[in-house]
Amino acid sequence: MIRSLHKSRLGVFLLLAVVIVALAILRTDMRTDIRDFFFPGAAVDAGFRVGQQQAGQLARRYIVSITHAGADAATARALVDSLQQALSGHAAVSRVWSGLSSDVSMLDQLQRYAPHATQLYSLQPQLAIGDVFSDAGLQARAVFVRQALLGPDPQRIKALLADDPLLLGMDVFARHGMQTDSPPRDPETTTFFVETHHSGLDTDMQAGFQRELQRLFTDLQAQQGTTFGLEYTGVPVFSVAIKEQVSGDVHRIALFSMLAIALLAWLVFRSLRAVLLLGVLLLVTVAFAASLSQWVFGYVHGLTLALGATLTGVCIDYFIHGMVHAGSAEPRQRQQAIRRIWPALLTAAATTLIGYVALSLSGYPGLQQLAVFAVAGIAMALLLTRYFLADLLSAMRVRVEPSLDLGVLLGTAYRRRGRVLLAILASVVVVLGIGRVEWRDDMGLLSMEMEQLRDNDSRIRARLSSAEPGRFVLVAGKDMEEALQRGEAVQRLLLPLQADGKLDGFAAVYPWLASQRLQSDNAAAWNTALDDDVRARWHQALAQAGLNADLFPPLSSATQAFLSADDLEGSALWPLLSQQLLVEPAQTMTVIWLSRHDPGALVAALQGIAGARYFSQKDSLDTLSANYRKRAVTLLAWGIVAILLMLAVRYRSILPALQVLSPALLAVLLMLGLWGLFAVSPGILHLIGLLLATAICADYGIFFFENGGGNLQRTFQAISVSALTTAVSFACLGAADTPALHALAWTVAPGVLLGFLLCPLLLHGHNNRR
Amino acid sequence: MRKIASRTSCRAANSRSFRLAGYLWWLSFLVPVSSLVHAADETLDTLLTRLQIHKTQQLAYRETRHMQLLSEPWQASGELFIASHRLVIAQREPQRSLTEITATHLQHINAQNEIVTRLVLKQPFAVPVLKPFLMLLYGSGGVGQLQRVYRPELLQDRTRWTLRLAAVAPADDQPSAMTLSGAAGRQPDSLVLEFADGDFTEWQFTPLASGSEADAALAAVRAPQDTWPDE
Repeated sequence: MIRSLHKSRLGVFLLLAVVIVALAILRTDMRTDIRDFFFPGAAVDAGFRVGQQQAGQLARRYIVSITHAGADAATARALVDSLQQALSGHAAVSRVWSGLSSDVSMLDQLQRYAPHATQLYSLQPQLAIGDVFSDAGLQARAVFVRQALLGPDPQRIKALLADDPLLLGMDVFARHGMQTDSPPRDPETTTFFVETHHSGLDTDMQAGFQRELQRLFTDLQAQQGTTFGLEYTGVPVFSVAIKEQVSGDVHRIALFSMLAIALLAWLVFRSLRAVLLLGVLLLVTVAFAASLSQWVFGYVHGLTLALGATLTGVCIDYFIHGMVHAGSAEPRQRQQAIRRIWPALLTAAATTLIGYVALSLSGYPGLQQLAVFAVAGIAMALLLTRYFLADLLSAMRVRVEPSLDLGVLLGTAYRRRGRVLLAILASVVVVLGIGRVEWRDDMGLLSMEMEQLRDNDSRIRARLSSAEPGRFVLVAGKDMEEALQRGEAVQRLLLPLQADGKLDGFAAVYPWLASQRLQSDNAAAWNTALDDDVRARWHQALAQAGLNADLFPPLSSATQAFLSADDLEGSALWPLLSQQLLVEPAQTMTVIWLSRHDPGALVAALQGIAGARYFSQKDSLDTLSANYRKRAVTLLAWGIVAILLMLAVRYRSILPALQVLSPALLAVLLMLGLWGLFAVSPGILHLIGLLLATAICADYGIFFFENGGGNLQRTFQAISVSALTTAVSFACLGAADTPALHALAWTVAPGVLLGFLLCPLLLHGHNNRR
Repeated sequence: MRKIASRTSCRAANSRSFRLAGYLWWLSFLVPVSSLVHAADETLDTLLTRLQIHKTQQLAYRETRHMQLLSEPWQASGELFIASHRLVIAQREPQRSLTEITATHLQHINAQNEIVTRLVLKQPFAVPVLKPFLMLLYGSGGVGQLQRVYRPELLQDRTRWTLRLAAVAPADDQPSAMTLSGAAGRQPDSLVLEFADGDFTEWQFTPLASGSEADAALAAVRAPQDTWPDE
């Protein structure tokens, strides 16, 4: 009967395990962009949305640079053209271009703008029209018209002259047009842009495209028989590298920690079956947590998986505790042994969950996902321990007699010396260290170290004058007209900064679109200044420039037919322009992209312009991160209070609750003090690490204090095995390349060991009394 | 084909010396006649094949623009490079400028080294003002493709060939007609582009070099304000 029960439960377990693991493998969509983990999903700041939009578009772009030192210009040009043509026809590529201004045919746009050239002519109409209508101004325009007619496309120029006899439109765009993203004419390199259809974070596709780019280049180079250099950079390059590093980390850590835990478990239990059972239980637990997170959020972040997998450090405690207590008992008494420790397991799990739920309230999307992952993992670990472990031990004929015996730590000598040492150490570290702790909120420090890629990126970008990602000026107004007027006011301030070398360039909405007021002012300035005298002098200037003045269209009054955003919708320019116009019910915003600039000078210049502000995504994210961290610390403190209250209810007194938590709390204080003493600047991941260490150490305190099996030696043995496996598994994270995982490794591993060593010092006597 | 013949009286036909003189006399006609037969035999198809770029050509050019908006015709001169992947107009007079046309774009750099015109081409080498000429040089569709856009007419005499293309559907930004001509069996030395508004541009070409020599000259071409090789 018992045997058949074992078999039926084993069958249920196996079925569950296969389904859960299969679901996790087949359905989990893993993301690796750190912004998905830390960035708020519904940011209130419009700047974030603009930044995200810009980032999304930029993330699909490659900057490709061909170096051809030593090769003749014709051969180099031929190779670049062939490569551009091959890429243009590639299924993954949406466009290939050599500069933002060549995105759209400028002459096509000039035709559209010719009837509005007068109204859009200048940001300072009175001054500019006065200059144009001066003798020198008219002569210069006449010479310009002649040069344009003698340029490579005279037919287009003739067509423009009908609506824009002074060719003011060409002048406007030459002065104010897209001034960014223009590759300089470097004789030894040719740089161009490639944009893919897929997201830059679609790493499988991007990795394939990068291989294809390399292959195309190699083939063309072989055809030419000359050696060129190919370099490329962009978000997709980094995302592929990050994915490779994360995958490398996952494989390396998984291998190291599996080997380390398996070896340790075998050394302790001397049973391969026990090691196998432990591995299967952990696999099902993590797979269930991943599947539930996928179901709730639609994806699982790589960092959640990495951090969540460290929850095995918590979950393994329940399994080990159960295995040590039940594994040494006779098969019939195993369920009984589990039932005896069940209240302690439940209390321990509840304290851990309170900590994670508190942390999830801080607002980080990643921490919310981590909380769901933790709740799911811990719930599954508890269920497996309570309802399947005893039967699995029997079905697999596992008998557990841990060979590890750290009973010496329960001895009087250790406790006496240890307490003295602890008092001294705690006093020094806590008093001198905690005050020196400096929290850091720079997310960049959590990113991968990819020195070679960053050098390459800097070298290629130095050849360009491109818009800086994530930094721009945001100008808001109650409607389109006000936003445009304020944007024009900002532009008037940016021009002197550009002249002073504090701003390389910028791309604003004007001159592609101007406020009605500016258009009206330009038209008024033109109409006021235009008279027969101006017409006569223009006629004379044309003749002096060698032009047949009689055949030119006469200068006429500017019309009141102003250009509006609606007129531009659907034009070739609109895809570019619409990225700089954000129309919302309550307000309209315009965006001014910036090239390399001096942020201080820019912020100072913008002061006093209503609705205008300089936005730096990195600075704002760091501020946001600091706010989250402060909130997380507060919530964590409240979480500890909640745990205390829960333990107080369970033990019907606050004192035992404090005693149970004392090893965990003192371990946390010691860690903080040590960071202060050794000038380690902790961030949000150190905080998560501390929470994990607190949760694990609180579990040890509860197990030790409750001693559910009634055998303190056995209980301490279980805790010892748990502490060692947890410390080893977290120390394995130190082998990762990701700085975020280092932070966890060197927080949790020492924290857990400290908490474990403090249990007999702080709880032994109290446990005896209880 | 124009028939070229001559009648000879052979009053001393029985004499060997007279026979020899008669052969020599006939031979003296055969050399020029053979070249004329070659030129006159050229079809539109063979001409188009011959005009395709097989190796880089370096030509001296003189351009004359006849525009009603100019008080007198404007002349420019320099060097024209026609290579398999690009066409470069390195203007030297009246001031330096550089125009480069590739399959994907046109770029014009003025005397101040500024890129003043940059056109993204919707089709390979489809620069509107030079469209028929570039189509002959870089098009690969043969007579069929040409006839979809232009009505071609090939004229030949003893010394020259002339190809005239008239646009099937004239557009303001493109030539309504083009006349390209050259010495028999040779590359073109004259080009006239006519526009619907009455303006026209004449080009005269003189071959300077071809093949690797032209490639080397093209490689040495620099932007107007950079140092040129002959300075």
